[in-house]
Amino acid sequence: MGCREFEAIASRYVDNDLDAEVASAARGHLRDCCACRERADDEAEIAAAARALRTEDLTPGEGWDALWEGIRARVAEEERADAARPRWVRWWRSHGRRAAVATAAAAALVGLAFGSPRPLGGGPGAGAGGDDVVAGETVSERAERERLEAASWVREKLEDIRDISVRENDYLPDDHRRATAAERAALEREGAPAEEMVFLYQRQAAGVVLDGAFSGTRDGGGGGTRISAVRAGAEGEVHGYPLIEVDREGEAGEAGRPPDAFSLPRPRPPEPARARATARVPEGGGAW
Amino acid sequence: MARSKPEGPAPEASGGILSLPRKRPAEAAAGGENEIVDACRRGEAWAMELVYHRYRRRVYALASRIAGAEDADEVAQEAFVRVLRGLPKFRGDAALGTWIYRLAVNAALTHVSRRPRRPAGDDAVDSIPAPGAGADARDPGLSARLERALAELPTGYRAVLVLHDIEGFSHEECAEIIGCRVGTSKSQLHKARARMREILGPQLAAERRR
Repeated sequence: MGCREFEAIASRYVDNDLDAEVASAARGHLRDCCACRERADDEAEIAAAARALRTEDLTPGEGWDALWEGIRARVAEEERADAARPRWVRWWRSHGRRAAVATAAAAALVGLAFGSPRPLGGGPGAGAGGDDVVAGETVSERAERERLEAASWVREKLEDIRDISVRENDYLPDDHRRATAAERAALEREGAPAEEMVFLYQRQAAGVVLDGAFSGTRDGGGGGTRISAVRAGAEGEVHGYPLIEVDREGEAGEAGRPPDAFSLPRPRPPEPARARATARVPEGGGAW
Repeated sequence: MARSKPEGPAPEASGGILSLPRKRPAEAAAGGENEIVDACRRGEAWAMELVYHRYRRRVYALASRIAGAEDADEVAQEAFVRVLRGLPKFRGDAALGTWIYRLAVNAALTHVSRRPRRPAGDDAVDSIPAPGAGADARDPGLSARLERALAELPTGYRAVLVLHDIEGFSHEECAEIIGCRVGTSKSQLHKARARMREILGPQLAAERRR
């Protein structure tokens, strides 16, 4: 084991979180490397000192009772504000945004189910009503199948919406966000992205409506590329960012958050190019 | 036309947070999490107060160490307002404590991201809790320096380090609270400690040589 290798595992070594073999190799390296031994000592000392910080020492300036009174007052104030709002506003705040997304998706479903068939692909004979046989099915059969698949996807999306949450003004660790190197550097320098805001979008691509939300910087305008709203198990990418994680705060998320939705069509099996109609999100960071 | 009396428990029993009965039922005090959450859903004030009493220290500590001591009261208040307003919708997917700490961490991170940027180390001076019994027995000054260094960390690193090293959560719990993967929590902690070492290392080495 070399110094670079030890450096990468130093923290886990201190926490005794290594496999026996790796730990043994690390100990072997420490016997001979003074610098790494010092690093390990430092990290162990920092971790021990951190453990020793007792939370009991921290108390509110005005005391626990005053803090509780402040909380009660805030809650009462917000409940009074709720009561003063018209009924439709209350409904909108609790259900409306989600309902809007669901309605849009349902509208897409209806459109897909009853809309006129679209010519598919650009290959010769594909758009002029010709029924060429491709991979065992005619173009019209393929069109019908794809409409049904898309309709099925929209139905799935309606289910998915319940399990999605968007975190506003959030800081996602770099490994999590898959940010660019430049963005990572900026995040590390600044601690957190400034002035993030969440954009909602609806976009129709190849007959499939994508509903969702992503957050971007004000500086970035509509083309903001900070993605923080993602779907459990989602695959695909937006603006070149892979979707990898979901926030499970769920229904208990705070009021005032955007609709909980971010979905992309599931990847489909490869198809012949000439009769293909796949919903795709453009790459390269263009504005929605 | 006589208006019929609304159904449901009397206001004294469920009158929301305004009519807070000071005595909470003894069986509820010893009751389980589900019982407390159910009582909160019914709007029973004793249950809300119980939630506050059970979780206040850790929520306050998270608020103080992530957002800084001077903003801790505000952040803790915001966190508990979110908790109390959100409890009726709490589904129980996670443990109540985990959910509460997640709201607290989110409130702290949101607060930090919204407040005007301060010069590096500025909040460190404000956010040093009084060194006391909790300080490292070997070196009381190290605790204060640690708090200062902590305030210089990027917020994301700080959150993981506070949760894991100070509050003693496992990486699995940290991941659930922060909303990331376990591997991400480990790598963030590694980077956080490396940064802490950059800040504190020279002093530690000098002390060892003494």
